[in-house]
Amino acid sequence: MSTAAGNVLEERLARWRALETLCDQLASRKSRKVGVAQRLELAALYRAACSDLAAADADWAPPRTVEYLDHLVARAHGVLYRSRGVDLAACARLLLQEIPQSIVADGCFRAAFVIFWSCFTASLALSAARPDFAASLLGRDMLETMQESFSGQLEDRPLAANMAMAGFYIWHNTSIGLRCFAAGLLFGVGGLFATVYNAVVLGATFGWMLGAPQQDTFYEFVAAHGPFELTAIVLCAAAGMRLGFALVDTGGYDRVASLQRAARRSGPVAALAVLLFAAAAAIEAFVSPSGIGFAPKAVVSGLCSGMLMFYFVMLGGLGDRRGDAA
Amino acid sequence: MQTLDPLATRTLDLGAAPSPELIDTRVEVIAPENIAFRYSVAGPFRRLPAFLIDVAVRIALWLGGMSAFLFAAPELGEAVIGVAVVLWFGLDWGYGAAFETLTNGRTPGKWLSGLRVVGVDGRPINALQAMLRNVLRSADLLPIVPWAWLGAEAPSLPIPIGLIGLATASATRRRQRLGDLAAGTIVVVAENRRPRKAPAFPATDRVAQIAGRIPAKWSLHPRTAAAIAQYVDRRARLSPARREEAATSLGAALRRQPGLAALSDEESLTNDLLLCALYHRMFAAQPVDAPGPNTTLVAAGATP
Repeated sequence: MSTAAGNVLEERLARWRALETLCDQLASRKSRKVGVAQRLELAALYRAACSDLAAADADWAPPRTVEYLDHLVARAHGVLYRSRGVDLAACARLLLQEIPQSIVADGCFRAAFVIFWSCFTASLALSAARPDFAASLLGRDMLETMQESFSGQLEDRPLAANMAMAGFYIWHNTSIGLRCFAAGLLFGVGGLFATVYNAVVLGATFGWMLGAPQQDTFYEFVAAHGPFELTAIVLCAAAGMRLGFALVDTGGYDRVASLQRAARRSGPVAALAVLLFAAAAAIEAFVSPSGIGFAPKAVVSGLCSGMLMFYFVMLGGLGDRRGDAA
Repeated sequence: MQTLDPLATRTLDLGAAPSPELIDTRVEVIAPENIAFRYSVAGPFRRLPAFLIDVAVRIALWLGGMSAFLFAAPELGEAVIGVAVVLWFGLDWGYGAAFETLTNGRTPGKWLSGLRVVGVDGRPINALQAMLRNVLRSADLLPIVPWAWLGAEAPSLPIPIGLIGLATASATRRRQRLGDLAAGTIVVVAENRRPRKAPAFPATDRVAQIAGRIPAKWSLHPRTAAAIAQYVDRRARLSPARREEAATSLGAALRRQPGLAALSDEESLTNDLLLCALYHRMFAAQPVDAPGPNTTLVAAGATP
């Protein structure tokens, strides 16, 4: 064993300091000036520091050296493996392929749609048959306010007022939807409650309006933006329920891993719901209150419904999976 | 080959063996290079200031954005309300996700508090993880308490208490709130806040000279090597008299060993110097062509 004349630790220290300096440069604003050769050197220095840390760990090196190397390696790791930006092609694939398929394949979403529409229909029927049902559920004040707001004909508003309302709808509805998604995390109860609550309140409103004199104005108003908005709120609630039920039925994973699997699937669905909310808000602010008459709004409503059908049936493969839905 | 362990005959346990589960807030992360390194995890109370700073930054950004907008387009009238509300919505839900995606896991508040979000595997977080953990924060901030509970005069603004996030972060080993659990992320104390000083080594000529006189085949038990390493690590903070005092018991035992007895006739060989020389032989001086530290010397002691 020939002992080197020089101190090898000095060489290593120099390497560590070089890595430190490089990390400093790359973290600072002058990072653009760092050349290609230096960037390549970073990888080499990082690997060297990694092996130094492994050796130091194995060789009972002084605690402070290990601690220093830990620090250095973690830091260089953060510089080397940076977060990636957003990949547009991957986003498109996610939106047009993975999200619709995961929605259709997931029992939670089917359950949420069934719960929502059955509660909605039941509430609508009850409220249409017995006028005091809506009053006891929503309160007289709210019904009167609503009656008042739909008492006139729908007329064109100034553009500025429409823009203000669009902003308000985006903020208000999407916030509710996202909160609904997050609340689902609490064992699915939040999402379930939100689904049932929205279905019953909306159903009661629709049913009560059936007999009211403002019926035409009301249905003309809600027709255009209804498909997107209702779908979005159900998607949010169902995505939240998926998170919550993943904690209950783990499918053989441990609870945290099961939650992460569910989150990877339902997070993009919540993002899709945000897009739907934004589209619905634009329609609700610019199309719904305008005085263009019922027919164009019905066309918009049909187009929206058609798009949703296409999304779930064609892209999601709703028809293909009917056989093995269990 | 002689195997020397002057400490083996004593009941003194150095406690130098790394225990698998340390009782502190550090977590081990395995890098793609198959090396494990440790991160310090930030607990809920370390993260609270960052959260509050971020709330303040959001309000400041909103005010700044709105004044810039009003300055640029003052004739918009009522539409300003729409812009204001959408801007607030974007900041409220998208601020954290955008910053954490684009700036490698740090919002301004985290940057100021020296924190960073990384995946549980130590890799930087992606856009989906950033979005999930920020949207799910609204569940972590539950329950919401009406302000009126604090005083009758107060406006009816609901205040999130955040007990759920606090409870989950306290109960999980890696201090993850629900959003972190779902997204698979941890908040760590950022590694480039205060670059630590590289450790200094006592590599004087005299140390190297004495190290050179230690017989080549001389070996040392790992536990003794660890004791020497710990001593050298700490000696920089001791006065010369204290160093000698701390080095005496180990040094005296080592001097009696046959391989080192020849060194004892060296005049003015203090125990401190002896331990430094041994340290130098173990960790510093080594063949240039061999990768890694001088493993042969230390490892040889384990398997005589």
